[in-house]
Order: sequence, then structure tokens, then C-alpha cells
Amino acid sequence: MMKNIIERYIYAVTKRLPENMREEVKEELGANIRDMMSEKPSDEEIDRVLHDLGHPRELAKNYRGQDRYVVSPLFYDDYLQVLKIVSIIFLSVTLVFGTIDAIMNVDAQSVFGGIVEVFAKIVSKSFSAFVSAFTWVTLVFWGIEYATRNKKWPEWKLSDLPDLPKPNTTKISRVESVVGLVLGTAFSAIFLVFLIRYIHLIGIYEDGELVVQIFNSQITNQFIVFFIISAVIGFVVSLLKVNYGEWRVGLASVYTAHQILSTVLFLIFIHTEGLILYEAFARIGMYLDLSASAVQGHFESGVTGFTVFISIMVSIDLIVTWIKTVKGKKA
Amino acid sequence: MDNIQYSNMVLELKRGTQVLSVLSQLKHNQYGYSLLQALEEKGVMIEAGTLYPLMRRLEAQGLLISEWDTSESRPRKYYRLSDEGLSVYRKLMEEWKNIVSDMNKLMREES
Repeated sequence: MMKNIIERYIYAVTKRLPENMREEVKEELGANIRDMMSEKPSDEEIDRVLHDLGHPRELAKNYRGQDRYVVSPLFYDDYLQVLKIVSIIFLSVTLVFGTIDAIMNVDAQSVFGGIVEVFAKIVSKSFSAFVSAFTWVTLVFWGIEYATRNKKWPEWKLSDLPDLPKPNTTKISRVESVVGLVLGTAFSAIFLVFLIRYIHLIGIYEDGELVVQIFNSQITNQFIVFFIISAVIGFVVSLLKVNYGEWRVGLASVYTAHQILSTVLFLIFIHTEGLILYEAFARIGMYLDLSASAVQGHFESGVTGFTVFISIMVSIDLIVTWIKTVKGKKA
Repeated sequence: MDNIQYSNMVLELKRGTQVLSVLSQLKHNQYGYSLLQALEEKGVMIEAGTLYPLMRRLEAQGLLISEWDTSESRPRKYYRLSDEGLSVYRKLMEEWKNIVSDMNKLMREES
């Protein structure tokens, strides 16, 4: 049973070695192992001798003589730092284009289905973005390690030292977050009140008389519960910002989740087919000497431009937030 | 400080003496296991998994020369000091003596 165990041990060592060492090490290690045993070794003896020699991986490392790395320990901190920043950039670019793409092509019929679909798309694209960020950064550092292996580094200069970070860059201004909390809550409240109670009053008036209602209240009613949820979460996040007073990973994550949720919800809202009643388009067309469908066309391209604009703005905000958070952790 | 940290310190301390220990025993031919035993007899413990690769490395650096002896029933690879190995050994021995005397001075101040 233990017959070829020694050969297997030697193979487990030599397969981890460069081709040109293998034959030589195999011969010599075999001879050494036989020297450490009696002529007809028992299973226990073989077991003891091989364990004395240690794990094949360890022994192979000793034969190779130098440690090899994908990312050298010298660069490990820089690697983590670069990985973080590149991930943030990749993720935000994905967020912009992924959100626009997902919003433009929603297949689901219900509001909830639409939100879930857009979220699922964003999550899966973000994951791929992170995987590519990881792959590229790792490959580049691997390249650096490979190219500089066994090379002496040039003398470093005092001027290469980094500047000291500006203090308090991660602090969230208290005034800013309190103002944000008040304004945000007020705006959400007014928006919700209109959505729930007065949506039928928004329209085109002539001589004080409502002629055409603009929004289709059947559609806006479907969104009410989601806007309420989003407003409540937004309120909580604002409170957390005031409470913590600086960016931390947890806070930044909650903030990011809410920003994405509320943006996606709002974009789905303005992209919903039939949100604006056709009569309203027709009425506006009448004033402007355009057909109803021409007005609708202009409105839709306006919505597309707005979507791109909002996605970019939100992404910039999130990038800045995460850079502050990462910097804060480092300090 | 726990035991593992302590024994790592001892290992670290001994690691620097491994090359010198090996070179000191190779004025005459030795094969891997015989060298291991020769060292052990004098109380110097070095793991087989460390010693065999070390011998190969010293040979690659030109300090040892080796030849296979296939005349016996068990073929063995014998190592001994090259001329360069001998001169490196003598220089290292001088360094070692300096280290010992410096360390002794330091530790005498302690006690």
C-alpha cells in the first residue's frame, strides 16, 4: 500500500520546481531519503522520515531558494491602495452607464419589478466591474514584481516623499448636513404631499380653470409607496450623517445604497410610459404649433438627457464620498 | 510573549549560523545524511528539509563541489569544499569570532 509513497513524495516536491532542477533533485532527494531509512523500512519509518523532511511545498520552496510573489510584500500596501481607487473608478463608471442602460431597457411591468430588475442589472455589472478592476490591478503589480525581481532599486530621493494629507478632509460639515437634512426632508414632504393629494391639480389652466391634467394619477399612485420608503431611508441616512460627522465605510455604504435606490426609482418614474397624459402633450402642441407626438418626442429626448446628467452627477458625488472614506481610513 | 514567538526567535538566531556550520564539516566528503549526523553528533540540530536544499544552493554558488558515487549499492552524492568555499569559510569564521566577542562585550555590560 505504501509502496510508491516515497516516489509520490518526491514527485510532490519536484513538480513545484523549475524543469531544469527536477531530475537532479529527484535523484539526490531519493538517495537522501533512502539513507535516512533502513534497508526494508516499515510504514511507520517511512511516515516518520517523510514528516521529518516536512511538507513537500515547504521543501520545494527551500530548493527553489527564493520566495516568489504575485505582489511582493514590499508593494502590498500600495497594491491595496491602488486596488481601492481603481475599484471606485471602475464601479462609478459602471454605475453611470449601467444605470442609464438598465433604466432605458426595463422589461418588467410593475414598479417593484422594474426596481428589482434595474438593481439586479446594476449589481451584476458592478460585480463584473470589480472583477476586472481586481484582475487589471493584480496583473500590473504582478508585472512590476516580475520585472523588478532581483533588481536593485535606484536610490530614493527626499522629494519623493508624499505630502502630508490635509487634516479633516473626511469630516462632514455639521452645518451642511443639518441644512441637507432639513431641505431634504422638506422637499420629500412637499413632493409626497403633491404626489398623494394634489397630483390631479397639476395641469394646464386657462382663466383659472383646469383644462388638462399633466400626470396620469393611475401611474403616479403606483409609485407612492416606493417614494415614501425612499424618503424614510433618506431621512435616516441624513440623521446618520449628522450623528457620525465623518465618512466611514458603513455610513458611505448606506449613503451609496440610498443614493442609488432613490436615483433609480426617480429615473424609472420619469421613464414610465404614459406618465404624462397624451392630452397634455396635445395641449402643449397646440400652443407651440406642434403635433402631440412631436412634443412627446422632445419630452422623451429631454428625459434621456436628464437621465445621463443625473447619473453622472450622482456618480461624481459617490466617487468623492468614497475617496473621502478611503482617505479617512488611511489617516 | 508566547512559546511560538520565542521559538521563532531562537530559529531566527540559529539560521544565520547554518552556512557556517555546513561549511565547517565539509573539508572531507560527506553526503546529505552523513553531514546531518555529523552535525547532530556535535549538538547542532538542522532540519533535513533545510540542510539538503542548502547544500545544493552552496554548490550552485561555487562553494561546494559534488560528485555521485555509484560504486556502492546505494548511489550517493558527495559534497566537499571547493577552493573558493574554503576561503569563504575562513573569512566567515573571522566574522563569527568578531560577532562572538562583540556580543560578549554587550552581554557582560548587562550582567
